[in-house]
Amino acid sequence: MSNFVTLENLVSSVLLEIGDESNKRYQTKARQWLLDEYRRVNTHLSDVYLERKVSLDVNNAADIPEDSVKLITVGIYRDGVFDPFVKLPDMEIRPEDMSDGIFNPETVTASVANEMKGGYWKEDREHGRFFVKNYQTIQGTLTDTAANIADRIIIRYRTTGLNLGGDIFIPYETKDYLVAAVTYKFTCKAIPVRVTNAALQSMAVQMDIYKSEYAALLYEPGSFYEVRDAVFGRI
Amino acid sequence: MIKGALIEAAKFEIDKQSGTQDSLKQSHPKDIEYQLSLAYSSMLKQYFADPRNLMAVDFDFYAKKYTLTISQDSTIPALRYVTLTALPFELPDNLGVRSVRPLGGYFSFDRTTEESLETYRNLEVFSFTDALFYKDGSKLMLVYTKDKMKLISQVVVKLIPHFEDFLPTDNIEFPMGDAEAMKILLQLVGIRPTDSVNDDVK
Repeated sequence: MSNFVTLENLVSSVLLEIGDESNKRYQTKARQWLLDEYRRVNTHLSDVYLERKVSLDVNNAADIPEDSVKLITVGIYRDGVFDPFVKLPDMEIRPEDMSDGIFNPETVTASVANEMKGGYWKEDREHGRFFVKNYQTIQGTLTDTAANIADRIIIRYRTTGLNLGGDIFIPYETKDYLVAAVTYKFTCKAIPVRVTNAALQSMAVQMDIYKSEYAALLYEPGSFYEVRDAVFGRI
Repeated sequence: MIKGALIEAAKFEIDKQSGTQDSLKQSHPKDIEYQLSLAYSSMLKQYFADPRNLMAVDFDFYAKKYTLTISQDSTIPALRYVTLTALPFELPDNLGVRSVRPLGGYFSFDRTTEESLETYRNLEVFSFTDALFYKDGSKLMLVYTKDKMKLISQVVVKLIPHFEDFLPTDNIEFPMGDAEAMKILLQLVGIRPTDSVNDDVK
């Protein structure tokens, strides 16, 4: 994990920047603002997604992770190749699929599956979970075999980066931008001391430089010539 | 300067100018200590009124360390606290308490207030914090977010004590120097600094 730094490393950097390293008067504030900024980076700047293996319960449903912003896709690995299921949009929940006002996956008729003839998943955002159905034609009849792959389900999702259960490790390339952004936020609120407008503007410029540097690191070569240059080192 | 020596010097300075053999009229060390503590308090207040000094890195030499044992509330076992044996100097944001750290530990508790804690409890930061403390009268309340922190039995509290809480053998640094303290002291007791040459003024 050499390319990751801990949250405390960043907190110390911010406290050093604002001159509070001995008192630690604004430690909690710095930590929370760093978490906020890191979530913003993950949600809006970064294009990294997480991949997790989940297990389905008896209803062929599984919980969406608490650090997910958006569930990108659900699928399984077949012979080492990721095979995504088809997502049914929420509008596909029909009145006859509801029982007592609650979505009941068991009542989803095979008419949908006749068109799909394969795996599909449906998101239930109200309850923070998703359902999986996997239809196969066995001896001429459509059968839901999702239970057979219950321990092989793979999800891909955009993350906030904040998993509340344990320690947090922040990618090293975001460190400069995060520290600069939080220090700028402190300075805008005149914490701990007020600075001149010129100093504030130079901090904003420096923060933008760090942000564009981070965005440049995220850039992947797209065209043929860029890929060629990346492979043969002609940048 | 060593506290005992400072009081001795002040007593010598005053007795030299009072010129009486009556022990009732001589200055008492306790009285001198009280007057010196007033001078010390006013100096610290002046010094820390400047936010640059309040946020400065290197003024922890005014502080002392105390090793205290954590107590548990009898009615609410989740409440853990230490009772301060010496009250800290009153500074903004309770900065009179410099740091609280477990005995032998390498991290320090996060500083907060009882009011801020109500906000922090609903934020993510509460999950990423190990332990917090806030000052409640003469107690420091300890708030843990992780169960392993309950193993801590003793903490080292570093605080800026009042003048009375220094031992006679302790070295005390005055923010403006010992000479300033003596000058303030002599003015407080109504004596202007003289030498033995013009003693015949009286």
